[in-house]
Amino acid sequence: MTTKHLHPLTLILMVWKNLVNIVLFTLIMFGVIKELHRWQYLMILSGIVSLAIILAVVKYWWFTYELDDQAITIHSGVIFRQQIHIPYNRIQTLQLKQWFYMKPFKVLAVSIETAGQSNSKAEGQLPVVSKRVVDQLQNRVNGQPNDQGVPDTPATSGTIYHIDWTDLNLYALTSLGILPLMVALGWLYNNLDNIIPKKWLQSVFSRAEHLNIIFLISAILGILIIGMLTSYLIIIQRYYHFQLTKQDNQLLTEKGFFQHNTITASLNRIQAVVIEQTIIRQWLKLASVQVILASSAADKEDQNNLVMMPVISQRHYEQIQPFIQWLPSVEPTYIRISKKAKWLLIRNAVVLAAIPVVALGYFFRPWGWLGLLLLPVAVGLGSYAGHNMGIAILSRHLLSTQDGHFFKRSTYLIPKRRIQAMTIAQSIWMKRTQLAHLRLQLRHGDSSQQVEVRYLPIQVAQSLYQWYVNPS
Amino acid sequence: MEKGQALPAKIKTVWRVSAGCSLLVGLVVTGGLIAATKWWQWSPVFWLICAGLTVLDVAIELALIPYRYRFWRYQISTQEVEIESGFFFHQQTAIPINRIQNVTLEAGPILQWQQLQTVSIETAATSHKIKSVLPETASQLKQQIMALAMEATPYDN
Repeated sequence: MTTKHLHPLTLILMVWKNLVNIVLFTLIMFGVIKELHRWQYLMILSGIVSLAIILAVVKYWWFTYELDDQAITIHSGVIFRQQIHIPYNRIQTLQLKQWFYMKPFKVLAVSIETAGQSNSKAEGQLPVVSKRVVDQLQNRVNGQPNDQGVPDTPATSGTIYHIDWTDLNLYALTSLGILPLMVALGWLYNNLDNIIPKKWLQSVFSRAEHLNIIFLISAILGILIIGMLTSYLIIIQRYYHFQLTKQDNQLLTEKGFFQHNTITASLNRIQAVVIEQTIIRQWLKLASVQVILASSAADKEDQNNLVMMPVISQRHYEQIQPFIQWLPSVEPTYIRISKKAKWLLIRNAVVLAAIPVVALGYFFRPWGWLGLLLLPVAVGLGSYAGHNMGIAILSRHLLSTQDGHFFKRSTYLIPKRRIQAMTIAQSIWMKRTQLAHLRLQLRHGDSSQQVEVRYLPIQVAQSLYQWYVNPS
Repeated sequence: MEKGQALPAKIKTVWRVSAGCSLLVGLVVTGGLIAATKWWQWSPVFWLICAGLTVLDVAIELALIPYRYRFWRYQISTQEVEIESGFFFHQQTAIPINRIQNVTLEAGPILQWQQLQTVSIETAATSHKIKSVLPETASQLKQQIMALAMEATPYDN
């Protein structure tokens, strides 16, 4: 196979990028040198533009790639030559991105991720290649049977899930709130001491100040509404026409309006499945399903998990099971923790919250005592955590845990062979109450993730430990 | 508790020596601060705090040696490596052999002088240390783990 260059459209993108980079620099320079004639300006300008073009051409010329039978090789760099060699069967995920302006040219951006522990950047990146090359690459990746890994049952091809508009709407609406609210509150807080103690109290009866307050409130509302609307639109844009397909041993998600985003992940590489529900979605009986992979391909916004289904109704197991066969088809029943354990979780949350509350109250009298309002929140957090903590052995190969952090419930479904290590932790005080924490270590993205079930009865923890240690 | 194997007794010497090193470093820093107090009229508070911290650190380090030695066990069976530690905060960890990705043997100068080695066991997600073993045990262990890892059904990461 011969070496290839990227699609020529790359040149335009590179020139554009270079110009943006250089222009910032030049603007600073122009600020310094003021005494210049028009022709001198033009000279410098054309110099910059040609520099950008030359740099782009050089970079383009030196960037080549090869698709062999076994691996893809990418050569890049001008002064420091770099050669990346990725065997197809090592590819964990393949991500394709297509911005709207790339569509008419039938070109895509490709990121190739392996399980290698490099930094957050994808191991292989092809900024602009034509659709034909992408198809070729995909065929080679799919055609390569995974040399290790379990042989899957013959896949019922054509399992498809589409998001519908009501679901997407609900998803966007229920992910709203906290962030724009925080921004608005932060702004309010910054301006609070300017307005409330001094001016407001002094001139409650002054009309002008009244107007000021009205203006202020409407400004806050305005910011809130705009913030919510943008975050709503961003989510709609991101998950526009979301679609999940199962092809042979691959999961394929497609989504996006301005940027069409396709991620292919091998089913054999799934470390665990996470079902997440914020308390609002719990009330509305909605859940979002994510997959933990051993590469960081997926969105940074979703803690590097691959979103499998942004939102589905409560009876989600029936819907997920066709895609991942080892999942249960009904909701598991969990072993819940005892009353005593729930009380301990509440105590911990309150003690943790009490430290800043006391400090606030002491140093910022009298307003600091408003911090006391945190205590009921802490009680709520603790009892929520206690209510949702649970664990279940589903089979000799499958485990499920549940926990609740910050009013969000996460349900993990973990195959035994993906648990890298298991720890029982028990402090001397817990010996008396016969309780213990159980910690599981998983591979997550480029690093690890710990799943912890707290204050389990020691017998339950030990039986799980035995389940884990016993060969099967 | 107490089923596995304890660390070699020599490790106590190593810990004492390393406490001695901490003392030395602390003394040097304190000496510097005393000099600064003398020549540049720094407040004596600095060297007093530094000296206090040094003494405290060394005392705690020395005091903890029997505890650390007593409550730290490891066990290697055909299926897994188990590590147990702590009395006040007791922890028991199991690492199945077929999850192990690689094994590293290390030894700093003090460990080398005592002819000991640290074994660190790495999985795809975590890293676990057996603080010190005799060199024979270390290489034996390494071979055992590698052999078992070869035998055990490999799972793709």
